Amino acid sequence: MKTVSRALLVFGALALTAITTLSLTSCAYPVRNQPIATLAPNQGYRWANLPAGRLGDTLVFVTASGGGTRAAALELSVLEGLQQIKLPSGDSLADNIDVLSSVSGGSVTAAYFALKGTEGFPELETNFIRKDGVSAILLAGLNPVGLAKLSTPKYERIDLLIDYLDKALFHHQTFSDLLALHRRPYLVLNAADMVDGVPFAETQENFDLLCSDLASLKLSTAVAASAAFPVALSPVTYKDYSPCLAQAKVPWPPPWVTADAGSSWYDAPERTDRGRVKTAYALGARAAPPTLDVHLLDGGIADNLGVAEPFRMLTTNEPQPAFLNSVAQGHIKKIVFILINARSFASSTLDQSPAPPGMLDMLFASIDAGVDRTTFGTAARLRTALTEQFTADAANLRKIRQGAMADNLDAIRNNTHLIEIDFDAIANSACRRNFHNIPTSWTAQAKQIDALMLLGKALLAQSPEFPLALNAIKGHVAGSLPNVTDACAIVPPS
Amino acid sequence: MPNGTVTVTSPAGHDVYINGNYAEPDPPTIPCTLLVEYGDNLLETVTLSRRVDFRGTATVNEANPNVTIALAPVVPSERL
Repeated sequence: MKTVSRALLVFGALALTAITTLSLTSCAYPVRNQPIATLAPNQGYRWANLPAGRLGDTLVFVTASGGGTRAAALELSVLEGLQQIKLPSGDSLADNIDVLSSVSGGSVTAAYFALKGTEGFPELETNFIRKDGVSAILLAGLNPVGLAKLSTPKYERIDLLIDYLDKALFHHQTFSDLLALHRRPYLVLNAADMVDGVPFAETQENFDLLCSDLASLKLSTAVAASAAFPVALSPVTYKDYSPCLAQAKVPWPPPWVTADAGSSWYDAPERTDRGRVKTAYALGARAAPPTLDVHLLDGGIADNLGVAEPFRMLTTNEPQPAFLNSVAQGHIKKIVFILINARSFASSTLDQSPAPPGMLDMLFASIDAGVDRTTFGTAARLRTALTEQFTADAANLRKIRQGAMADNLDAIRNNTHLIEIDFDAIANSACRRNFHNIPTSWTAQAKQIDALMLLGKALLAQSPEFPLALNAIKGHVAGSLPNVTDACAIVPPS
Repeated sequence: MPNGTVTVTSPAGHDVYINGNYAEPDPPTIPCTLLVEYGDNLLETVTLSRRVDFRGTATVNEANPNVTIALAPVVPSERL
């Protein structure tokens, strides 16, 4: 999220001032999410309502970080690389992704891939990645019509991004369109609740708590919620319709929320905190204090890798999907986890001058420090969960003579392949710096995009876990994948 | 993030669901041992007509990482 277009940020700050002045007298804010009539596990965009994976006992996760066009392009390159991996069935690995979880810029590619599959790759590149999104958004906001719209509370700064995404890619399609495709990947777009400062995965289970229907939500709105960079863009606000009639027909709050919230904080602090936030969503107007609206900002504030929700899936027994017991029971035997991190690390000259940093520098520092910390933390937690946690669990199970389950956990640990796509894996320091310095923005230079479109595939091929993962799924690479040197040769110097 | 276990001893032959995860495609059958998170864990069995007929809560923590319970009948059974 570093160095998001300063033009967009300045525009955001100016627009914020003007709009606040103009719209104080009205409260007709846009309603972006609709209420739900029935809460039923067999209805809606849920994991259980998508067909089973074709790899049987193997789960394939892909997570994609934020980072504007840089992140969108790097993820597209990785997905193209996965398309080149052919399985014995003749399918590609890209066709067999089970869970695709993303943040911010990564959410654009993730949502479009979930909607269009590999056939959408050329459109995504042409209509979004190679377009100057910043100019398009600024023009839409600064022309007389845009300014008039922005002067009313019904149209917020985030609507400029929503409209742009609809025009370029999503054409007002919704999660019900994804459901109708009846295929995986299960798409998880991640935002951050700006009040509680926690990740908010845009799943039907979380929308149940708001008594709301994810299926009717526009993909552009969900992506924008995941990418609502603070200040430059306004948050996406979802209405919390709880309590509602649909909830009166089922145990409420749901048992999994009650179990989390009721757990002693000393036993399970993260779980208890999670349960308390979800209880507030579930009680809505009856919560103390009431939760009437959930304001969502760029998911990078709480989890810039999109790892939090897959992590929850692998380490809990909460509803849909939760794999902890499926792993322990031996139903899942292999995990391929591809973590795409397009984090930037822009060079700074601030520490070469005694002059105090300006307002924008301070604002970026305050946002970026949090993003960097959560990025580091979530990646480390995932590695721990996939290795040390399963080892500790297996040891405990052996103590109580549950050797079969312990064996299952040992086996999954040995058959888990974490492939990390990260600029930090580039050995050449000049090349690494050039990629790190590609700004976070909705636009990038053509040569930067060319380089990113090679780099994702190259880092996939370079990962030491890549051949092991190929062996586990009995896959092979059709043709050849580029190497990092190819990408370094064409990335423009920063 | 630590985990413990709950061993459920009865009612034998029933599938058991954890923390309301009723959509779990492969629920374990009692008697069984489940890997669970530290904290409170709700164990339930469900009838074919989707009503909860047995329930129990197990608190798993550092002091008691491995808990054994028998589920108690829910009378009358409750709708999911």
